[in-house]
Amino acid sequence: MTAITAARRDTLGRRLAGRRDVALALGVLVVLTLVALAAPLIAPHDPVDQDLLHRLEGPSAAHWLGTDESGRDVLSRLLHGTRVSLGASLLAVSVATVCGVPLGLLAGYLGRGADLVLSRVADALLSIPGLVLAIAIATALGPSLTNAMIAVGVVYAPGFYRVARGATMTVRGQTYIQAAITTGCSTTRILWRHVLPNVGTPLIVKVFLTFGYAILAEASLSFLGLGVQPPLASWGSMLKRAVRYLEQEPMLVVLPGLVILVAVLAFNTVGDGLRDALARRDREPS
Amino acid sequence: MTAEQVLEVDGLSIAAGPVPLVHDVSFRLRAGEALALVGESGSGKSMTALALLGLLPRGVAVTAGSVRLLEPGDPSPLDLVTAGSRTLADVRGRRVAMVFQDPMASLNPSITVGEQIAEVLRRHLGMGRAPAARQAVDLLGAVGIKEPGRRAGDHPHTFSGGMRQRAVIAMALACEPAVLIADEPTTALDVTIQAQILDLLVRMQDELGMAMLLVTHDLGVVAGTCHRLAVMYAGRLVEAGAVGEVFDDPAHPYTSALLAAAPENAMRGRKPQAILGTVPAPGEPPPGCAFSSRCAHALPDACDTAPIELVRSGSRSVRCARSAELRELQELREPAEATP
Repeated sequence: MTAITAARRDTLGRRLAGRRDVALALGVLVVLTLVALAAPLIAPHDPVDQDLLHRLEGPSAAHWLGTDESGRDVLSRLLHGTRVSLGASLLAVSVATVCGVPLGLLAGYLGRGADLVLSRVADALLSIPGLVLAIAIATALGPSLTNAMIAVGVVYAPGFYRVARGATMTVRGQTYIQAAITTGCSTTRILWRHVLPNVGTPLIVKVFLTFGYAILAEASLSFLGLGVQPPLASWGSMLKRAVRYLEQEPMLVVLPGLVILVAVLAFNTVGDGLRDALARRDREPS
Repeated sequence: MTAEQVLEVDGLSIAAGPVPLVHDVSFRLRAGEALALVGESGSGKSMTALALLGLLPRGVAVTAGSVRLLEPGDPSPLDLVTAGSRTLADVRGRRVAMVFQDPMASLNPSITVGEQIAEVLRRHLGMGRAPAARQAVDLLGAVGIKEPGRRAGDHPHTFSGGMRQRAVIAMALACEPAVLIADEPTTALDVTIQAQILDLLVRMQDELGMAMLLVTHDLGVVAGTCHRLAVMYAGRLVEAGAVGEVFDDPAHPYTSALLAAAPENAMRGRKPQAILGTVPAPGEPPPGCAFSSRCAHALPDACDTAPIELVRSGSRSVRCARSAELRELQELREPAEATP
């Protein structure tokens, strides 16, 4: 029996690893996370240190990926940018999850009036383009990556709300929920202990897919100058500055663009892989 | 045994909006006693059971009557019909517990069995994590799960149907409730497992001195399990009494027909007799006896014009206009010999 449990436990991991693209994407995400955490330790230079005598240089032994228009080390800025970009995306996804999921659980579980009101609010939010709201907020409050990403998170929240609500509605009718009620569980406890773990699958997938979007949102905001402020670097702000020197040093544009592409692709691939693996697991008879 | 009453249901009526589902149901439960609530689908037996714990589905509500939960020495019994949701939550699982029909669906698939039982203990008895976990293992052992220490850490999908129902029973009995409501606890199980689960219920009921309300459509389940029997038809009680007496000498033609329809008859060489027709739809009750349209003994005027009252005599009650004369004629008893 334990063998069966053990086998079932790693099937998910095995299935994910079994798909080569997903395994690769997962590896990319692990590396990105480590880089984000350890950026100050592994960056060869200070990312804001200017060296005006060595501007716009190509790769060299001292600067593996060359220097930018102020003579700053591109590799170090990319590494630190990873931290800023992923951190900002994490903030947006967290805001979206924290706002969307509990309300989705509530609406799906209580139904009726609560559901009606919350769902209309969610619909209204969904009709607002995320970037436009983020730009509006950043303009109103002054450019700040934190404010902008919180705004992005709020705009993404209805997506989480909808996923959580839908999944909760199917779980609500299960006998084990009624059984939990008969053992005296409060509504909060039922939502937290009995509903949430059973609606986790689609939510995890949603987190990964949204993370990809959030990276793009951060890059777009920073590219427009509404995100991270100089001299700090994020992938988007590096793009913004590099565009002016496109003809002299195209690598300055290509590198952050490539990193953004790879990161978004990795998040989407892992999300897709998770969805497929979990869907197959859930379909299996137990 | 002069056991005290633990539950008093009085004049309970339930309706879905304008449509009455259960009408004026009353019964008593004493500690250590098992009462079977019997009826076919749509008789209102499950609604009655759900109403006891305030678990009626949306749109269905108690319209009259009371469900009093008594405690020895407590002068003001708690009415579960009017109790607030907080009070109800404190009662559920602590003083009144429930076992559902489908053990495959009544355990949370994403929490280990041990945790689900421990959760009840922690909720109601305020036990710490570790003692609750130990107690959960003991409970699993008590309901006959082998290697309870190891199995407590397993998820429900690794349990078979019978074992899951044992775990559900362990969860229900965790706080030693005064009343256990079992809603068709064996219907979803293999026949070979059914008897084991019933034995377990009876044994635990004995050990804990609980009152049990067993909701079932299966008279075979009632025979070895319950002391008293209440038969429901179309939302009303039609007969109640001690199991032996009712089985030997049914006072209502419906009870008699149910007994004749029991598949157990087949083993005695008799063909189960189907009851022709269907239960009248709720909302359009016939003016007289609800069973009259299907009753072999119904007489025009006597049965189908005016509502029939529940008549009580001693420990038995019956709702039938012709019960006395039919019993006199021994029309309702099963034929003594098998007819080949």
